[in-house]
Amino acid sequence: MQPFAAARILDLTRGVTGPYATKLLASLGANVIKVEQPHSGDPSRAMGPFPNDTPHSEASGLFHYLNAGKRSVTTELNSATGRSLIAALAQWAHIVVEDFPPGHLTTLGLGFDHLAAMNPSVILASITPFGHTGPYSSFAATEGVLEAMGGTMIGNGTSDREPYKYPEHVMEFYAGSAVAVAIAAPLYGVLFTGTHAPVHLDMSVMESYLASADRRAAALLAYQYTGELMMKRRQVGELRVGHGIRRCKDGYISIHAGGPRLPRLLAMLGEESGKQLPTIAEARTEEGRSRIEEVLWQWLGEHTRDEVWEAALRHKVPLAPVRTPMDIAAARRSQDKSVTLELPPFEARPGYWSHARGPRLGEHNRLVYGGLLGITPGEQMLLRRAGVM
Amino acid sequence: MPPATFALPLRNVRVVELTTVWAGPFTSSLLADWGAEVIRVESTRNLLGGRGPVLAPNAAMVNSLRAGGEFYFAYPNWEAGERPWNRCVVFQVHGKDKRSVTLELTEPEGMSAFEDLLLTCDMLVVNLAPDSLDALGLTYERLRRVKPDLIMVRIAAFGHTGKAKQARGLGAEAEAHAGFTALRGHSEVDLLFKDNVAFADAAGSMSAALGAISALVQRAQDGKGQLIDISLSDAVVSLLAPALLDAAMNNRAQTPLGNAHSAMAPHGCYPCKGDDRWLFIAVRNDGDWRNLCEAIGHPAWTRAQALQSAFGRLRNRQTIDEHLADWTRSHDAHALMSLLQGCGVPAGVLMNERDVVESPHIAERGFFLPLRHRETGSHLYPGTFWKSTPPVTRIVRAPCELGEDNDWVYKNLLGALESTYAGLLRRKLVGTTPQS
Repeated sequence: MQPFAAARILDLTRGVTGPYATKLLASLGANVIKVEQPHSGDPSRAMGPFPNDTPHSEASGLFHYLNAGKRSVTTELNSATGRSLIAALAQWAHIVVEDFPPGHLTTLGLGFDHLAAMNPSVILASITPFGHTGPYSSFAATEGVLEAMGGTMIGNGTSDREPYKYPEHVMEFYAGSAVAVAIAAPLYGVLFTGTHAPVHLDMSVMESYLASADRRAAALLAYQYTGELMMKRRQVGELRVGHGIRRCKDGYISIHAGGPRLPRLLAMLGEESGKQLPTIAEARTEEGRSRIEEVLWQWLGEHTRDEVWEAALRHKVPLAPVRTPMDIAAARRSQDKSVTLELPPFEARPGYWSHARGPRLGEHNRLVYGGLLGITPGEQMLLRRAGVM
Repeated sequence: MPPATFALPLRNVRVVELTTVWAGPFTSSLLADWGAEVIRVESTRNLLGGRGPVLAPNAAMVNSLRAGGEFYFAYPNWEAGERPWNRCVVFQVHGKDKRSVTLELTEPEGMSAFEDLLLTCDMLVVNLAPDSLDALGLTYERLRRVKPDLIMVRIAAFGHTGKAKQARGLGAEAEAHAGFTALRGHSEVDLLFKDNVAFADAAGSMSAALGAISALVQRAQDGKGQLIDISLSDAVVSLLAPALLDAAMNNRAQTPLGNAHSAMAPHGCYPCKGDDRWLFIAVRNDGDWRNLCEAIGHPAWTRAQALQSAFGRLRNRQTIDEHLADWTRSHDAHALMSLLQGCGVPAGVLMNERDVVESPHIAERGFFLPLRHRETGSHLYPGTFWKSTPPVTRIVRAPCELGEDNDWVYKNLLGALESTYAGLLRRKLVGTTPQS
């Protein structure tokens, strides 16, 4: 049995962040019913990558990755009949996850008060860029805007040019992983501690970045300690001995062997290169530092990433090859692992994670509406004809 | 009548943490946010680097940290004080709502106290190097004999199996190994410069917290413990799925895009008035473009036929960027954000620390928790990213001082005899001051 096998989630989210959160729980066994707009479905169905670059609404790699193991039903939220289906599913669910603009669910007659009246133990989890309150709550957002306002973008890159955004979707995925944690904890409460009220969780993606362990939270406290702005871009050419990214024979490596770790770097370089290196005391001088870097650059230039990593393993030097997604895909193939579905963010005992494809649009209409809600085939026909499903 | 408050779901869960910096302590911090009682196990002989760069930095060292931009090693007013280990940002930022007990795992009495402590707890969170865990005898196989239903969450840069077991690395190395480093930046040139952030630690702490909670859910059903293994690298790989899928499906090697976007232009950082002030602007569609042109006042360049379609804007991205930057340069970033957002155009200031601390929005959200600490004074601590209705009522403790809860743990939790505890204190196996 998987951990969340008893959990029931009604998922009204679209795109990347919300679907990634519920995908993590679906892969851990949760029953997730995903509600999509008839005909068009989740916008991620139109986003690549597609196999062989051939777009098809049932073939989006992104959609399948984000919706693996969920059940898809279609419902028109702009019709009263469609909304009644959502209301019925909200009574089945332990938790309803949504990412509409603040207030939208209330105007549909499906706000927290409505849901709580129907399901007195419901958890409503709302995901919005800036939260449901405050002056920014009505702001328009994209991933880049959120990264600028809540992330560490001001510190990305070098001081000679403008800061840069992280690769596409990465911070949306990160926010999704934060939301998964924020959903998992109350699910544990509903399922096993038994004591809870109906709860509305108002989550802000911007705040999930501000609170994060990527140094932003630390910078916010450091600013109050010192009055200094320190989350800024580094100078071009800035070099700390034994620390940073360096070129080697077939690519790059990342090394973190300055300061207290310098003795290990000196031991490794001495043994591997056979060259005379400065002592720890000499390493504090400008001359000593240049000498270490000189030997390091030369040694790296003669060795591949793998050779360098092997040496680092022997000498316990913090170091890693800079791999590309192509390298990772190749490594996974060589281990007979799927590149497309099996990327669990942690490891546990066998059977803990499940791997599946995403659902076809409305694939589970009959199962959910017929089996779960008891809507007769005749009534389903009516819904189809009215464009509700 | 529904209860007036939201009872935190992990309120009956007790966590022991044996961690150094970032991913480990942030994992237990996330669990504390949901109500778990977290007890931090520390040593007065070896503080593991988590409470500052060194035990007693002198003024020259503090100045060099300051000059090097190492803000996470900042002390209030850059004064290390008499007890620097209770004042450094790297600890204080995650130390709230935790208790601290000291014991020496390398001494029999210390290991025995640790095992007794484990028996009173549900979970152990560790982020020591895998071979250090083995050397201390803290293997899952041994600890589960002490406590059969133990949940152990262990975090390492590259995981705990195979070659990676010997490997050493920090967040930056995990990012490199995961393919993230090769994708970030304006171009390959940026590869050579490290950012002063560590995305892998953030990704790893979220994965670990999800692993921890799912293991609690599992144990509530079958009564069994669980080992959860976190590789910071794998945690980042799982967030890079689109690039991996592209590699797998189309054999395409994605490269750094900087601020370019596959479907949006303009899209990027535009300079504003003042030192290092920038506004991020993203035009999603024709409607955003019309609104942006309206906000700028329809200068001649915006009227070019080529720019009226998404394709045209993508093709002429550079020209748009130059014109747009000419306009933004003479404006205040916050004023411009208000202007563009007022027209419905996605725009956001690249917020620095001051912007966030002084933001009226963040204040109204109640994101920061005001806490008073005996050694550092009153500050606003980053809080949770969720608010609940009904609200949570709880008192959050200021960051724990080293060994602050020794009495409580040894006497109340472990039931140590007064004479035994006095002996441990006398022999410096328990204390509140580092020994070297």
